[in-house]
Amino acid sequence: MNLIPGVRLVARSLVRAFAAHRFRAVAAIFAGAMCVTLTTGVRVVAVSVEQAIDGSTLSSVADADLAVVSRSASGMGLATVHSMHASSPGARLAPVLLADTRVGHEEGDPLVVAGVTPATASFLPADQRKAVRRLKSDNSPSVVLGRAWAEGQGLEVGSQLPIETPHGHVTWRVAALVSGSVPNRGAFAVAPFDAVARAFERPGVADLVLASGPGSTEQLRRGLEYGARPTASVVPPDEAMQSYRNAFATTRNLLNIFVGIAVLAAGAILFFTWRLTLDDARESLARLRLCGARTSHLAIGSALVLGGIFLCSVAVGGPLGILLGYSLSGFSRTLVSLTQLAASPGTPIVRPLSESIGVSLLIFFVALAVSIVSIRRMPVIEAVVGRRTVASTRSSWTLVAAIVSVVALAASLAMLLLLPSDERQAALVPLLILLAAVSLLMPLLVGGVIRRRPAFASLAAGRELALNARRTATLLAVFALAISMAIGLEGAAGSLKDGISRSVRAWTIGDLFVQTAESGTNLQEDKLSPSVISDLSGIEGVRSVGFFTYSTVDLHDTRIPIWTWGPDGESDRYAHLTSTHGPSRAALWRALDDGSSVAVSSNYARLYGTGIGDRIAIPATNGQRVLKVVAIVDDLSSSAGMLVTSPNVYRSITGDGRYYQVIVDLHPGASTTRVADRIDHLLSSRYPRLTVYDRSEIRDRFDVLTGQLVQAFVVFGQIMFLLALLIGGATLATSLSLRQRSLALTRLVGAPVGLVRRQLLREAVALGVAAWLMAVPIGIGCVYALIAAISAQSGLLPAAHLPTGLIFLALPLAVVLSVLALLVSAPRRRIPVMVAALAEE
Amino acid sequence: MQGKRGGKLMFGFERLRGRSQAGAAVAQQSPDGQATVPVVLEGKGLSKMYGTGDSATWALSHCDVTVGRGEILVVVGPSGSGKSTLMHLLAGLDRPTEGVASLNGQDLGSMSDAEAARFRAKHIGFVLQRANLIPSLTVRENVAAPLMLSDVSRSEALERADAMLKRVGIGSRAGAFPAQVSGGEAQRAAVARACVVEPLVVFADEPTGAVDRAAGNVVMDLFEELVGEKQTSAVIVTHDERVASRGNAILRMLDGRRVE
Repeated sequence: MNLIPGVRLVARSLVRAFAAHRFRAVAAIFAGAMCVTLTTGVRVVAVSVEQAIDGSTLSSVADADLAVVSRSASGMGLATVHSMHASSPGARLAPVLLADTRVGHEEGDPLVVAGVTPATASFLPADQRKAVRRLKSDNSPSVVLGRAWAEGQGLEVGSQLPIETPHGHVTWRVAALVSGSVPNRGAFAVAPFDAVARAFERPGVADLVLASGPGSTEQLRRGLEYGARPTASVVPPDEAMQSYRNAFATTRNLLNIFVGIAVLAAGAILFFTWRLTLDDARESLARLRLCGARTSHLAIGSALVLGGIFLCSVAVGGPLGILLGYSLSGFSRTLVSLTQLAASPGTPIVRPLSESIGVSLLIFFVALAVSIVSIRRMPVIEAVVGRRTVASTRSSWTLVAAIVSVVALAASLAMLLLLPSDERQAALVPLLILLAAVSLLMPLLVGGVIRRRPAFASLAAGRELALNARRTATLLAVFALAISMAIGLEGAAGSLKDGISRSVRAWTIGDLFVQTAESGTNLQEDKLSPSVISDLSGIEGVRSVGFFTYSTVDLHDTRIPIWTWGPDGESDRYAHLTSTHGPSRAALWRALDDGSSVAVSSNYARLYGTGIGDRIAIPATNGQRVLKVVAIVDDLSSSAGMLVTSPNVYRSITGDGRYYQVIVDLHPGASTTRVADRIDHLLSSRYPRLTVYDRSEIRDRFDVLTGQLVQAFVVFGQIMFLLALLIGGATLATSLSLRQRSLALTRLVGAPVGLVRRQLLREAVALGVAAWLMAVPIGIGCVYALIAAISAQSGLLPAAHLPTGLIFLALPLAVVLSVLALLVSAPRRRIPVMVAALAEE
Repeated sequence: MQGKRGGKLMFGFERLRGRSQAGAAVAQQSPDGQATVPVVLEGKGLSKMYGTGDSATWALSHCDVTVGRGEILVVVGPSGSGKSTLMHLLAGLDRPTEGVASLNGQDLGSMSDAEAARFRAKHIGFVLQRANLIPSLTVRENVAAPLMLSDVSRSEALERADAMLKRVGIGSRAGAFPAQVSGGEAQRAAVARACVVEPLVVFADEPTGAVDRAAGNVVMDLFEELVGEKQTSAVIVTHDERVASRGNAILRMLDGRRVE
């Protein structure tokens, strides 16, 4: 048989086998499309955040050999810059001061303001140099903007650009508009260095130094590091924002885990539906082999059909994935906002779509490989004698499954009970093996129980479940996996949410909380001037005013928050921190007040192996401060971990006297609403997006923020249910098609249609109940294992709370899922007309 | 299958001719001439059309059939002659386009699905050419199925099934699944299932078509023995002349019509 005709015959047989079971075809295409959709959507979020972070600084467009990046968000002192000049003679250095702020209008669009010196111009693209060299730093400093962004804001040369600063609004004159590469997708303003330092109260520091040297890059690096360390890091320009990207790593990894699970689930659906198609077409393919078709014909024919499904999946899933990415743009913005950079996330399409197509191509290749293995095992003689299947309720695999179940159960229990809490994620492996092994045994157990009931429908249902154990096991495994993952994800998400909520409550004990903007939207420069403390102290009803503020430092190649509450000596009034090791509450603050101490959060200690007595070298604006760890604080609110210092130490490290949040305590009986209104009246003209929360409002706000981030877990659990429904429906539809004659014989010997339906319903209900019985203990194990997996990523280790409501609700859900899968397989159409089903060939 | 409308088939008339005279005598009159044998199965003017409009074909045309108690009617003819269609109509598995089929005086076409199923379980047995047994039930459970569906308790049904399987010589295979028994054993189990309810009539469609000669003889011997024992009537559709010789009467068909 020639190649093309042979391939065509094979492809036609497979297409017909596929098309004969429309639901299966839909399920396979949906699986592929879902893989593309979810991967694209999630990667759009991840890539948009990464690109926003990377593109938010001047080094993304500058032509420099190296960039020196401050390890403190408060910047590196100019003394460090002078030191680098000295240690790198002949090098061109240009300091840059960066302010993440907003345009001072109602929409408050994020804007990065870069303060530059004339030396910076030589690092910029040619068409921008002249404009930058002409910047003036007078009472109304001039600023250079990207042309496209400016026109979008309605600005032109000579316009006034309003900018939010800690003092309130300032307006700067637009001196020039430039085309070409502008960082931050255009939301970038270049102004004189001194003007930026004045406006944002950051005198004597720089955030970034662009460098090019006369000699080799390595030589330049050595010189710069000598002058910059430990205050700043020397990196290639495109890695200037690496520590911010690494801070995003936990969220990115969690998103990638979701993608991984979605891809696996889609691959499973595709595998099962394609495998069933091959089974159906087996007779035809065997006869084609009898006629001379070779393995190569069968393989290429399979590839063509799978390729068609793949293209359909991409055609459906690609646009949906892009739409999903667009719809998740709010989530991207939230993630970027959490970095406190004024980065502007876009909606990248090409890279996420390419990656998702690549991933789905992989699962199709796996399906093809399975085809080829299966086809090669198909003997030609099957065309003559048919496929011999030996029905048995016991076989060698039953014993193997039983042994594997026992071993997997023992391993799971051992890992969950004996391993430290943050290492229990290893138990996920034996748990999943246990699920697979038990799913092979359950059909025999469940079938055996059901068939002992007196009704004929029960006998028939029980026998059917046990005899077709492989198919039943597939359904059980799919349903049980969906339920157990839903329990595990809900439990892990709920535990995390509860832990974070508990942490938030420890430091939201004031009556009112004043911020320049809503929590979750604050940028690095969204801070209050210290004068606000005295302004608010005079308001009637106010008993005391404190503050909370924070900055970040580059430690372990990631941005670690450093927090403090004050004023000095009164920190415990505003934050009741408890420790897992070391002193708590007032004793903690007394220990921190010695000026050489620091406390770390529990996840920081876990992530970096830090204990009481260890020393941490924290980069400061000039040099570093080495502090001793005196306590490990039980706090889960920062996924990267955090450091807690006294206000004095904080100021010495950061040189920053501004406050992220001012906390107001009221006299007993004072009206929170009246005081909040007074605060708003007093400060809103300086801070147009001023936000005043009372205690319950700020806690709710954090709950909402946390909820948004963990909601993805819950949504994913729901997606697993949908996938299980698809797989279940596809498998049941095929099963019913193959049982046509068997069901016809049942009717022939006297069973009415209603009894046959009852039999099918009993099978479905039994499947649902069995799946629940399997899934609950495995799901509970998954809660602990998933918490440990989260801990491995972020160090966060909340106390495990089991989702008892879902555990009990999962039983009716499992039964409904199984019955729905049966309904989706259209049993009404599949209970055969006897005559047609019994007709002889 | 091609059939033309017209040409009545009178079973009784057929049996007065040729080798079926003895059968005709059973249907109408007992051998000793004393009493009339009751008619168990009757088909009047049975016709079946498939398709509509220009593509309509008559697979069976105005066929009258009567089968008396204890009588074995053999329907012979080549493939496409309409013999299976006739059997399906007589057994109530399909509804006639025209005419009426009645068993023990009951019009099978007017029953609801539940009534027809119950009637089948109690009064009709079936033996098909192949794959008679429900694959997911054991041989014992297959044989017991019609009893259980006739509201006989499970324990009694299984007991009676075991006894019947012993009768047909495969008592030791009672616990096996259909895929684990030979073709001949499966056919014996099918005969056992058809007869265990002591039905009024057993319909057998090519009962020896898928087994070898020796196994076929065994199956037919058992069949004759079991139906004869309880005066069960039988309708056997076959193209095998050796099977045809086992019947009391023969009905020959060709292209949906009687053959002279």
